[in-house]
Amino acid sequence: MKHKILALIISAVCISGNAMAGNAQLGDSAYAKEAYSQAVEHYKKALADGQKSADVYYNLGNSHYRQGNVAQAVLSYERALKLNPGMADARANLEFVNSRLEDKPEDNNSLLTRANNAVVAAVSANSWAWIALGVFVLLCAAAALYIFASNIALRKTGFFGGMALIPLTVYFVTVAAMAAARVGDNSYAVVTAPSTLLNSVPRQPKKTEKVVPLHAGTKVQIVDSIATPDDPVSPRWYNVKIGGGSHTAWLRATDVERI
Amino acid sequence: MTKLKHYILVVLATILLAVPNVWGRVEFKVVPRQNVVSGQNFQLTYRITVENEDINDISMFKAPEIAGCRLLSGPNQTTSQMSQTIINGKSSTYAVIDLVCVYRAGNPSKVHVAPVSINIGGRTYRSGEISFDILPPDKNASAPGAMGSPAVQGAPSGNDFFVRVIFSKSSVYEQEGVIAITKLYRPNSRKFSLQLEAVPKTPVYEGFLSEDLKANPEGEIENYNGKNYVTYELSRVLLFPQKAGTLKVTSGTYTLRIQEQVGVISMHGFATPRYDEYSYTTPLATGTINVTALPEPRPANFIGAVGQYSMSTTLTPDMLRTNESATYRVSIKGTGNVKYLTIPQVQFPATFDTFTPKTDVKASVAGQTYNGVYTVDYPIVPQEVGTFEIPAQSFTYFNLATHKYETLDAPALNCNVARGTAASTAVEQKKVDAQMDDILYIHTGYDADGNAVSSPVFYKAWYWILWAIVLAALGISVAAYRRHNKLAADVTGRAYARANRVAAKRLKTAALFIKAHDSDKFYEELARTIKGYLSDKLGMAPSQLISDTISERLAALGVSADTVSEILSVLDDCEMARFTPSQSENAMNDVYKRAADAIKTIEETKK
Repeated sequence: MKHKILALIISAVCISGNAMAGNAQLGDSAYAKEAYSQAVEHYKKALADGQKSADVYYNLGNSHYRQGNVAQAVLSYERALKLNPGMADARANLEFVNSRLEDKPEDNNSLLTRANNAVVAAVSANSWAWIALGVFVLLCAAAALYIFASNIALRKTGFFGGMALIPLTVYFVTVAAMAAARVGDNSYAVVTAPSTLLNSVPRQPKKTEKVVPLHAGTKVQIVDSIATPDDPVSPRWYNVKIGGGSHTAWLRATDVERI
Repeated sequence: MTKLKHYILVVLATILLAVPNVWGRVEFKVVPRQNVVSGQNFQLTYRITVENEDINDISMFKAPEIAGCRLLSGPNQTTSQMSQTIINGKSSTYAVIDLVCVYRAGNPSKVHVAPVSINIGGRTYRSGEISFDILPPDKNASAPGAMGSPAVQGAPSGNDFFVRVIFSKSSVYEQEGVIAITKLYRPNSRKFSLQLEAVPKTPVYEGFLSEDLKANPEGEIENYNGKNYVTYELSRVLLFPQKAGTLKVTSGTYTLRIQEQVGVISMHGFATPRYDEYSYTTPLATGTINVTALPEPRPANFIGAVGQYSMSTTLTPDMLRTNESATYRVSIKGTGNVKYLTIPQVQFPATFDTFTPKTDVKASVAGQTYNGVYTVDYPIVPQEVGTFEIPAQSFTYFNLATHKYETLDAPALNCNVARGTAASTAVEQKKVDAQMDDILYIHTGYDADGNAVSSPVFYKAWYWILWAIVLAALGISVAAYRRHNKLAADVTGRAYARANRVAAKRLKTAALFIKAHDSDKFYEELARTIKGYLSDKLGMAPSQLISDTISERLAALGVSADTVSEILSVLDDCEMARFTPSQSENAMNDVYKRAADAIKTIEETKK
């Protein structure tokens, strides 16, 4: 009995493994034939089968965009970039689609934060980890040069190089830590409903209350969530920030999808 | 030189001003006349207009022959007008002399009177020619020119007056010009004059572009449906049909002040005409015309020109410069609907900035259409240096004579564009970066690189172990280096340790004899050891070891004189002790120590 189950599992894994590569490629050929809805189905199947690669998400985003589904396109590009922040094509397409969205959230981040965000997103989290280690190795080498070398010039090089490499190492470790933190960070979401309302309270706004409409494809940062089982409109509300601003507002959890 | 010039100028000006206006003007022409009715008398008038000329001597001409008409009298000279004005002492004269010939009209026909010549003051002048119609008399006409007909009072009946809209052509092409005349008709029996007072309803020219022309103010006699009428033109308009089909023109209504002679008052034997004056508003009249559509297919570059045209293109200035404006001109000259052409499309090189073209029409009415020039100026500003081509222009028009489309070509213009001075010195760099106007294509190669990372290596223990290994590697190597350095720094200690090792090794056997209290063997061994050591050290056979050589060689090695004498004395003591029986252990230890010290000292001595 046990053997039978094991054999079943193994065969299932093998089949799905074959299908995995196949689904993505089927998606590619469907995309090439401009059968975008088919492409979406194939890429989604590939992702469901465990081929969660940045490329598949990127291609899925393209297929969604071709179908006119900007919200899903943005979501897919964001997911691709979460897996591979250094994916230039995904970033270019995301920026392109963002420029066509109905909402253009103001980037309230400071110049320094924006620069830092760009640096953190430049390469993948693991690349940053290796870069940090590499810089540390260089720092050790510089120290060794200072300690072991008998030539004054070499020792000077080692000393000042090492001095410069200390803050650099600290910086790169910080960046690597931030990049690693982002990998697991699921606090960002994209509005998938055609439009939703930003309320000041986690409930359906009254007619007199002032609300801000938000449209499909806009990225929000979820800072809090609240369960409202009695609410007939939505059982859960998210408290969100937009564009790095300090203000928060509530929106229906069903209107957004986490990246 | 300058003075002379000045003088000449002054003299010339004086002469010009002093001389009276001597250039006179004489004009001789025939006065146009309207149609006449057969059997009636009519006049043909030739008019001489004279300005600033004395006319003493007019040699009369012979009245022209008119086929079918009888000359009754003439030419009779009447001076109808004469004036003399003196302005600022300058006198000018003006005179009009009419020469009248009277004829009786013959049978209905078209009459053409050839020009006549006249000699005035020795010079010959030629009149123009004249044509008119002799109309048949009314079928039911009473005696011509009946003055004594019964007076008609009050407004005339509708049958009396009527209005017609007359086209100059019965059928036209689209965009072909045609003249429409609205005419008031009245039976010839009564003379009248009229004055236009108002136009309560303006005419409607639906489907036409129109231009009002000056209506002929003179009344005409016209034979219509076999009856003679006095006619007046109420309006005259040049029309260009804009669509095919049967188009209708509705005349306006015209309120006229009419004065007519209704009879003669005889008083004291003088007959005075009696006039009646009243207001009359004409009824509406309509006229239709068939408009033929231009043949299909219409050429692509047809801009609606119908008629007869020629085209030319020019580019000014010849030498183009960047950032300096130039004008490319297309001139279309000809006869036809010149005023209603549309702007031809010109494809300029992409590096030329183009602006809205300016059009200019200089056209005048000629017969039933326009004659003139349609000019389109395309302002262009070249932006790049180089040689560019403004492509050949072709212009197609519909030729009404041949009923075909005809195409004219103007050659392509090659123009060189030079760097303009108006251009700013810092030439603005063009952005060649292609703007992203669509998403990028999908990725088809699925590398393992882009695959999901379950957890970043930053959170893995082995990653931090790698850090520890790097750090440990540095620490260990530093520690090892430190120890090595410490030893390397202690040069004396090392030499001492070595010397000790050498001395201890050499004297090991001797030391055994001290413990065995065998003094003979001890000294023998000690001497042999020292000699062996020295022969090794100095590289000499033991037989060659003599005290002089030893001290000399050791001194050469840098060993101090004390040490040399010490080791020699030890050797001496050993020799002596062989002859001195039973030495105490203390003495042996003492010698041993001295030997060991001497060897150590030699070993420690730096070479």
